[in-house]
Formats: sequence, C-alpha cells, structure tokens
Amino acid sequence: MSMTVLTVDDSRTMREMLRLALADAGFRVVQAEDGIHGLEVLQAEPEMPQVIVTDINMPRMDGFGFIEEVRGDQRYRAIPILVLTTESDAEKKNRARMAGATGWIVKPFNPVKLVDAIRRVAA
Amino acid sequence: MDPLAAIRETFFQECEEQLAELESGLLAMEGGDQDPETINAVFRAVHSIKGGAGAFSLEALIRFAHVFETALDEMRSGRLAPSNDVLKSMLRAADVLADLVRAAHAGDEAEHPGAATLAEELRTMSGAAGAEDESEEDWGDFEFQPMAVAVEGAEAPAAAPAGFKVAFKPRADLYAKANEAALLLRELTRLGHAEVELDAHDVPPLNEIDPEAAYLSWTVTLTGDADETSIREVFEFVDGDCELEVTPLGGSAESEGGEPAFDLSSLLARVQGDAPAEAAPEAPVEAFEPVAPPPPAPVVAPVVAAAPPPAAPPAAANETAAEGQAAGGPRKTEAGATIRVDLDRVDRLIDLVGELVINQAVLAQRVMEAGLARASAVAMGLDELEQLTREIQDSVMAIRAQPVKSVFQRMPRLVREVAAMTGKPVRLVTEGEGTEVDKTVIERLADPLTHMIRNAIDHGLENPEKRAAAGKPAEGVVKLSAAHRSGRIVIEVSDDGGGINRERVKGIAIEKGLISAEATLSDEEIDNLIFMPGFSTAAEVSDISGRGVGMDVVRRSIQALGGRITISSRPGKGSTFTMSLPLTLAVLDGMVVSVNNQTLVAPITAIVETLQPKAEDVHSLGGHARVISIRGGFVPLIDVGMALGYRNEPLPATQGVALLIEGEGGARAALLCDAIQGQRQVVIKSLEANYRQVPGVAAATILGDGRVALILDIDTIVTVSRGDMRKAG
Amino acid sequence: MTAQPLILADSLDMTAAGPLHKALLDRRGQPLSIDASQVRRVGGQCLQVLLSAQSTWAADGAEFQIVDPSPEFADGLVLMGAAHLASAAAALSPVQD
Repeated sequence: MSMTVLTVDDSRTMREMLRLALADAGFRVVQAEDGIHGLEVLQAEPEMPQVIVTDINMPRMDGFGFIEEVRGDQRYRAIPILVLTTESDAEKKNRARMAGATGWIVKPFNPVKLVDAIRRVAA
Repeated sequence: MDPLAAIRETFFQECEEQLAELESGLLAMEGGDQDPETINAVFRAVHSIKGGAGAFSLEALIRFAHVFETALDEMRSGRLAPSNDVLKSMLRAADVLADLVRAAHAGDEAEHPGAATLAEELRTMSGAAGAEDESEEDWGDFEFQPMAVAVEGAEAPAAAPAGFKVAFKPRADLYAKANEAALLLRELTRLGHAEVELDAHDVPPLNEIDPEAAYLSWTVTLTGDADETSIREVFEFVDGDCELEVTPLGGSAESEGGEPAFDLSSLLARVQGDAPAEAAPEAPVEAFEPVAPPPPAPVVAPVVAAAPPPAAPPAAANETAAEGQAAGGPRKTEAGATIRVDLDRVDRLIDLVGELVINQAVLAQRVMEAGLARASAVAMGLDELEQLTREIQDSVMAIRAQPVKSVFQRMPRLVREVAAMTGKPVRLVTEGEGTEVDKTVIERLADPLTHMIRNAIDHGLENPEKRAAAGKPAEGVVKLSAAHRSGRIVIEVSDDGGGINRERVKGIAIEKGLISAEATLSDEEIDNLIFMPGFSTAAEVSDISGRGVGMDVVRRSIQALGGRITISSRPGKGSTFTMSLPLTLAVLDGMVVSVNNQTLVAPITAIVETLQPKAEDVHSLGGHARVISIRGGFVPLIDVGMALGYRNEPLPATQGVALLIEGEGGARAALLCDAIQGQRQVVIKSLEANYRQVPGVAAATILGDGRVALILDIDTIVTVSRGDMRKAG
Repeated sequence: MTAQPLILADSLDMTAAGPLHKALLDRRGQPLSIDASQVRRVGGQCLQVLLSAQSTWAADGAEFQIVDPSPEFADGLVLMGAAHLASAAAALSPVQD
C-alpha cells in the first residue's frame, strides 16, 4: 500500500512540484491550499495521510497555526509534519519546531532529499 | 508536455496573479490601508515568486525577489515604516519584479536596466531599518544545495575510526513532535553494523508512568564506514529534543559507555519496594549490578483460552477517533469559496444552454402554431420554462464573468511609466473594479484601455506649466471607471486636461484629406474625427502613444467585441471616452433581415442607420456594382443576396431596404436586403465548429421557429465587395 | 480464571501509549497475556509502557506474556534493543498453536 502524503502550500507551482516529486516516488498525494484547507482535507480523507508536508507563509491559516492544530488533535497528532519553506533562517524553523514540526525541508527542495526526509520520519 | 515544463507554465501564470496581488496590496497601503493581512499578502506574493523561481533556478529573479522580500519583511515586522516614499519605491520594485518575471518567462537573460539600482534602494531600506544583513548567508541555500543541512561541530574525522558510540536519550518533546526513537534507531542502524543497547533504568512502575513521557535511552555501537556527519544527520530533526553524544570508538569515551543494558532488577526492586502505590519513594534504587543478559523469561503457561473479539483499549481509542470524526470534529471550518474549473467545460455548458434557449423558443413557437390559448396550462408552463431558461442562461454566463479588476489593476503601472516619460504628474482614480463582464471581453480590453490611458496622459493632460496657467493643480487626474448599464458594461476613461482642440483636429483632418475644407461639422463630429484611420493629433512624434497607431485602432478593437466607443469633450475641462460593451460574446444584438427568403442577422453595433433607397440616389458603376448617395457622399451599395450567392440578378434598389453599416476601420457601405424583420438578441453558434468557414458569414444562430439564421460578417462582405467594385471601376 | 488476552493495536505510536497504559492498569493483578499479532509498528513510548508493565507484573508475581508477535513487532523490539520483551513469547508461540 502506498503511503499517502498531504501537501499544504498556497502556491500552485509548489503544489505541482511536490506532486511530481512525490508521485514519482510512488506516494499518493493529497493537496491543500492553506492551513484551514489542510484541516478540512484531513477530516475528509478516508485514508489518513502518513506524512504532512506544509508551507509556512499561507493565507487564512499559516503553517505555524496548522501545525499547532494538528498537534492539538488526538486524531492527527501522531502524523509527522515536515515544514517546507524558503526560509533557511533559524527563527522560522524554530517557531515551526516549537509549534510541533517534526522536521523541515529547505526550498527549493531536491526531490531525492524530500522523499528521503519523508521516509525518515514516516513509519 | 513534459511535466516540469507544464509546472513552469503554471509558475509564470501564478506569478502574474501574485504580481497583481502585490501591486494592488501596495496601492492599498499607499491609500492608507493598514490591515496587517494586506502587508502579509504582499509579502507572500513576493515570497512565493521567489520560491518558485528557486525551483527553476531563475537567478536574476531569485536575487531581486530576495532583496525585495527582505525589505517587505522589515515592513511587515514594523521595523520599516510604510511611508509614501518607501511605498513608491516598493511599487517601482514591483514593476521591476514584473519585468524580471516576464523576461524569465521569455528566456531573456539580458540585465534589467533598473534592477540593480532598485535592489540597492531596497537594501538600503532594509539596512536602515536595522536589519542585520543575512542575505549573504541565505544565498548559500539557493546557490549551492537545496537542502542545506546544518550540522554543528561536524568535522570529517582525520582518520576514520573503527566506529562510533552513539548515546541517545529522547526527551518527551521528541515524541510530541511525532519524531520516533524507533525510526531514528532504524536510520542509525542503516549506517553500518549496529549493536543497540537499551537502558530502561528510568522506566517507573506502571502506576507511576506517564505514558507520553520519555524514560528510555539507547547506546548504539556503530562499526563500519559511517562518519560522524552522517550520524548527526540522522538526528538533525531532533536536535534539542534529545541528549546526544557521539564518540569515536577506541577513545577514552569507551569506558563511560559501559552502560548496562535493560536493567530489570533495579526496576523490580522499585516495584517491590513500593508495593503500596501511594508511598512511592522518588529516588530510584541504584545499588544494583547491571544485568547484561535479559532476565529469564517469566514462566508462563501457554494461552489456551481463545481470544475474544478485540475489546482492547487501542481499538476503543480508534472508536473514539471515529466518533470525533463523525461528529464533525471541533474545528468545522468554512469551506473555500472558489473552485477552479477548466474553461472548456464552462464553454460546453454555455453552448448547451444556448441550445436549451433555442429549443425552448422552438417549443414556444410550436405551441403558438398549435393554436393553444395563452392562458392554457401548457402555454403558462412554457412561460415558466422560458423564465427559468433565461435565469439559467444568465447564471451560466455569470460563470464566465469576472470583475474588470484584473485588467484595471494593470493600469497603475502604466500610468506611472507614462507619467515618468512625459514628466506629467498623474493620479489614476479607478471606480467600479468589481464590475463583471465575460472573461473573453476582459482579455481583449487590455489593449484598447492601455492605449486610451496613454492617450489621456500624453494628449489629454496639459503639461504642469499649462495647468498652472489654467489655475489647475499640477497633478492631472485620469479616471477609469466601469459600471453596468442596461445590460451592457460601460467603461469610461476621462481626464481633466484641456479637452479636444477642435480647431487643430479639424485642421489636421483637412490637411490629411479626411474631410473637405468646406465641410461644416458639429463639435461632436469634429471630436469623432480622432477615430478616423490615420489620424494622430500628436504634433511631435511621441514615444508613448505609439507610432501610426491612433484611436481608430481602439475603435476597431472595441467594435470587434460588439462594442461602441464615443467621446465627449469640454474645452479646458477634459475629455471622456465612453465604451459600451456586451456582457458576453455568446449573445449578440442583431438586426434580423430577409434576403431572398433567407433569414440573416446583422450585428446591431455595425449598423449606423437603415434607409429606403430612392431611385435617384442609386448609381450604377457598370456590372452589378452600385453606389448610393447619402448626404452628399457616396458609399458602395452591396447586394447581400448577390454577395452570398443567393441570387444571380441584383435586387432593384428601390424594392429593398439598405443598412448603412460601418465596418472595422470606419469603412462605410450600404447593405441591400429584401426586408427588415426586427431586432432581437441571438445566441451565437460557431459555424466553423459545425461546417466550414463561409466567407461573409461570421456565425449562425437558431431562431425561435427553429430555422437557422446566418450572422453576417460585415467586414468580409465590405472588403470582398470593394474588390468587386475596383474591378468594375 | 484466565484473563482474556490484551490485543495490541496495529499502530503502537505515541497516541497509543496512553490507551495502552490504561488498559494495562485495568488488568493489574491478573495474569496477563498480550497478543501482538496485529502490530505493524511500535514506538518508544509504547515500548516503555510495556516494559513497565512487564516489571510491574513480575513484581506482583503475576503471569505476564506476549504472544504471537507479528514480525514487525519483533523487528521493532530488536531495533530498540528490547528483544527480550518478546523473546519469551517467540519461544512460546509455537506452543500456542
């Protein structure tokens, strides 16, 4: 059974890049456009994603808020979350970690490393 | 298309959306908008462009977006005040960013002339705001390695040691962030030959344990090729959430590494020592010798009893989760209000609704023919059907409708540029940006609007000196507005300049032979001369309004959309151009005429007037070519039946009706038809989709009685007939 | 009486540790057989709960056994240096059949 990955990013370009990289690796990809949408997708998905990859800067609900929501929900809190961001700056990364991010990937991502990071955090 | 190329196109498409967002956000801020979401959206726009540019290694774009983003971040965090000057620079930076996006799209690698200066300006702003310049460090991530791994204290060992001892003790936080000790160990053991020793010293008895705390620690002896860097990489994500010690084997560290493996006896001692749970002493008993091999397995009897259906707690937990899900969960959030739909699907729907409208009309006609009473149930049901059909049609058309905002928001930049080129300070005022019109109409509005706005600044507005002399403020105002009026959209471009210099316009028209020197023209007629082909009022050749492209081009493109354009001007006060356009290109206001028992439709927008030809006004030019005299001028009289091959002998002019039409470029002609049936709105059906392209016929429609009517292509008819005319003359 | 075996959930991740803990507490004082046949993954927190239970049962002098471990469960224990937790079970499981 292939692993399901939820990607949350407001940029269509990034969503498509992620889909391409993840589908190539044999993952099933579900997408959301921002944090709120991400929560909706989690709720609607019959197959709980095993890993979440999320952007930080998004409208409506940003990555920090989304991570906090996921971590605060008994149903989802065990799902590893990788934050995907252009920021290499320590502050954003730390905030994401404080919120409960499992790991991070620096954009622009290398597809091989992205997949590798997902496999590292996923059971 | 190769998937990456497709994503690249998506990226550029998205860039355009973000550039629009960026500009409108900055403009809103310039207008006093202090909503933090506005600056956030502005920041996100640039941030997103940078992110995508990074993915496609568009260096010039990345570089500029980065500097821009840094400045915006300063503004977002409140360290850089959004003063007018700052916002003006940001707007120019947005323009440069737009240029860079387009250059990148076109694969143009030429240096942008303004980028360097503006980047410097932005950097100064960010610097002045007191930001430490991190740009250099940040670059590392973009230029070298997508996934930079920060490894503290990582050094390649000088001589590879025999291996490493990795001591690892997770904290509760590690688990809380969905990291997993088991997975880290799995990664670690993949690096070489690993021996894992578990230390469960700290595990309290069951009645004391906090199941989500962290009590276990591990010591992994790793031998093989693994280097310290790759070992530490395994723990990259849990840095700070665990205690980690990596020591080369064979060093002094080994002595302290002799931790016991699972120490059941110490735990046993504690459990036994505090059998009454409440009296649990805190201090663990440490006086036990480590027991290296696992304790003997408890002697247990084999399980004989059959396992009942799983009533076990984990299953119960699942049920709880399921209940939570069924209940909708605590955070029922509002669904996104938009969906993306392929345009083809919408067009197909519009097409079908077109068919429905026609079908309904056919049905109504049949009912009438059947002689059913108006008040009969069938007729009344049909009325309701008609009502419903019309509503469906409107709703479907509304799907394609978009606010004119998308084209309006391209104009501020244009105004800035033209203002800079002409040296005229200009303020653009927009109104009715939310007014909706068909997407295709919007797309084709950009060019004429661009032209008109350039024109308004270049020709309409006076220079500051003249304005001062006229007692006007130095800053000229150009107003762009949109509104719905009687089923059409009306767009106005007005300026508060000097108005049309009628003397000069008339002079130029005479000079260029467009009118005779003796012609007496009303003010309105003079104003409309500027729409004549080849007319240009610019005394000096201007870089801005284009060369040889005048208002005639604007009028032509508006007419092509089934629209009309008019001008009104007041000397000293300014001019207003008014465009009236259909809300959709799927229906057309038509004049239904008959020609040789055929029903044809002529677009109303092309028709100037209808007239009954008098014998004395019609002159033959030999062959079948005729002209008709209208108010002292001659226009070709085109027999539509002949032009379309419906008859071989021309209709005597006096037996028909003539439509005086004006085609693209202002060429006039009179179309001779048998009779006029009336005006009506028709649903346009593409002819090419069904048959082939027919010269002189633009499209078709189906009338209420079920008959197909062709829609005339006025311009082709005029052009073709003109060729005939020349041959004849 | 022989207690009904406690069947472990398939995913012994961090969210399973709490419920597992509670289930074990409920069975304190009785002989305990834990069915690990459904387990697909096991994490550190569930492991520590199981280890705590094992020693608690030992201290109580009650029977404690893990039966029919799935390969994933056994592998997980080996990976975490806790093979002994199931080794008895592994030895016993053929007997069970």
